[in-house]
Amino acid sequence: MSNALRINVIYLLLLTAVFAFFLASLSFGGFYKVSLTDLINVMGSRGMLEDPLRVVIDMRLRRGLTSIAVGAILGVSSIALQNVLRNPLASPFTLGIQHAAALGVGVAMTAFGAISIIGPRSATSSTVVMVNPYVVSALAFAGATIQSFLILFLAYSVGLSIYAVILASIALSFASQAALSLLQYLYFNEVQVATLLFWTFGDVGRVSWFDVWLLLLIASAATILFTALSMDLDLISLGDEVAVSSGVNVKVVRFVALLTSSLFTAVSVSLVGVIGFAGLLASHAARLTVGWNTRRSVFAATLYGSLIVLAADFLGRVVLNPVTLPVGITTTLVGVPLLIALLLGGRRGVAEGR
Amino acid sequence: MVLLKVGNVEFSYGSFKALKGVTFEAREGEVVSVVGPNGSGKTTLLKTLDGIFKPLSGSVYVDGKSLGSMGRKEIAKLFGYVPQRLEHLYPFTVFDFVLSGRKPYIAFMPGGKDHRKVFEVLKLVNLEEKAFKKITELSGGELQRALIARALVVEPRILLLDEPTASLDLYYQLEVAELIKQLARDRRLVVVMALHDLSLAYRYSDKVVVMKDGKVYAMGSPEEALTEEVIYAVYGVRVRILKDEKAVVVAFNQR
Repeated sequence: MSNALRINVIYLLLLTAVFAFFLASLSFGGFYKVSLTDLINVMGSRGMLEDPLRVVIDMRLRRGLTSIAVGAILGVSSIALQNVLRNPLASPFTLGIQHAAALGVGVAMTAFGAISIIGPRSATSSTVVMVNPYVVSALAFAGATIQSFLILFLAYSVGLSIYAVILASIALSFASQAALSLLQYLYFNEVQVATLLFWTFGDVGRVSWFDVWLLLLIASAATILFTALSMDLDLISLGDEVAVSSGVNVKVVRFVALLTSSLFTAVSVSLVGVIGFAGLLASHAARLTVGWNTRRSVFAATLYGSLIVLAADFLGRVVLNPVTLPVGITTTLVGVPLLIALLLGGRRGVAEGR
Repeated sequence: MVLLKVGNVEFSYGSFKALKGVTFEAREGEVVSVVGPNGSGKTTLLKTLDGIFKPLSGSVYVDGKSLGSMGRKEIAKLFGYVPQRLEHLYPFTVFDFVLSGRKPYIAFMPGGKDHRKVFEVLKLVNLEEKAFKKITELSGGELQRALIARALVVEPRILLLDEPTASLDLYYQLEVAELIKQLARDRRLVVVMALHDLSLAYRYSDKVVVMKDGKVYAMGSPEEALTEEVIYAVYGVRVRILKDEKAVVVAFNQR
């Protein structure tokens, strides 16, 4: 079974790469360089919170862990969505689920005053504080869920092709963005507009430790859930009747997968904003290297997702140092060519059938 | 021994009655071909046998036990289903594809036994060397054999096939038909297959069920059920039965 060995080597390389980028993102990017010995010293010693080095490390640790968690969430959600919708182009971003969640956050800001801004009154230095994080997440979840089931309706009841579903989703995501713009135009002051804009770029640098743990918890839950469902997801990708005849409760699995991936996406969007294409990139990197077996590709997509968001954030901090680019901009710049390549390649490759 | 019994099964799609009082039975090791024009209820019958569709009335019995009293998983272990075509093909390896058929036995992760079963059935259908090829790269005949392997890996007692030869060229049609016949004999399976090709039905079946408008029009051994009169009545086409060649040929002169 050299195949199994090859896949284990890929896992190992990915784990190493994630760890390396994690360390690198603790050390570089921004004004401070932190050496490995500094890192060990500061981590080992207690107290001295006022030590600027410690503050820097604390901030970068949150950044790194958030990147890992969010990348994993988007990666595995993309795999699950691709299987239950039988659409290799599916991901929380290409299906507009992230945009719909963002609209939910906008509504929360407007109607419930759930987010306020503290710190100096400028968009780059102020911090977004959720007065009521539950309202924000709940509305993001509502937006994401409505979008997911709308897509399910378009794909199954209307019977759109895989390309038509993606086009319809892109159209719907424009609608979400327009509604968000309208909210900003009508109700937001200039600082709110700037804050929301920065937040929609996708930024992993503004989360609290509580949020970090929450994201890590969700990332683990998503990986475990979709691993447990992996065989059902394999079968559903072959067709509903094949799956039913092998004893899968297709309706329940599809419902659970759509609902949970909407939830996972919504939480990630409400905390770090819209990080475009990371999920699609991670899922296809996983499929290409470990194959279409769902159990293996879920695990690989976790690692690729983490790696992609970590690397994008790292690049965003290093390239124009000391200016930090929001991670969502970097991933989108890399992701757009991939989507186009997939649309072109679909004529003979992954997207046949249907 | 009678293994499969279909008793007065009715099914409808909304107001359209697709199956009207279908009744037949099959013994272990028997190949039953279901023939009939498009829309006569062949595929619906197979899906009802597999429990994908629940009959409005009547029942399907396996070993005397009604499907209605079984759980989905129990049914899945009894029947292997080979669909006419797959709705969508992601490039799974042949191995993973066949392994997915073991689902009714797998709670969380496939184990060593499941892997062994996969290799066993791949050997049976002569696809061992292709185990780690992608299913999207298989030829039509190989894909059909992979589908059959997927249905066999659950070690069913009844094998259901929907047009197993429809997309194959002549050589593979015979190859797949021989394979099916041999499986029925060696593994004591009941095979129920929907067929368009009447010659294949004539040649490879122990029993033929001729369907028309959701009803069984004729049934029996190929010689009894597939007569020139029955075929004209059901398809509206005149044919000649060549007994020596075991073939059904469309007559040149249709008058």
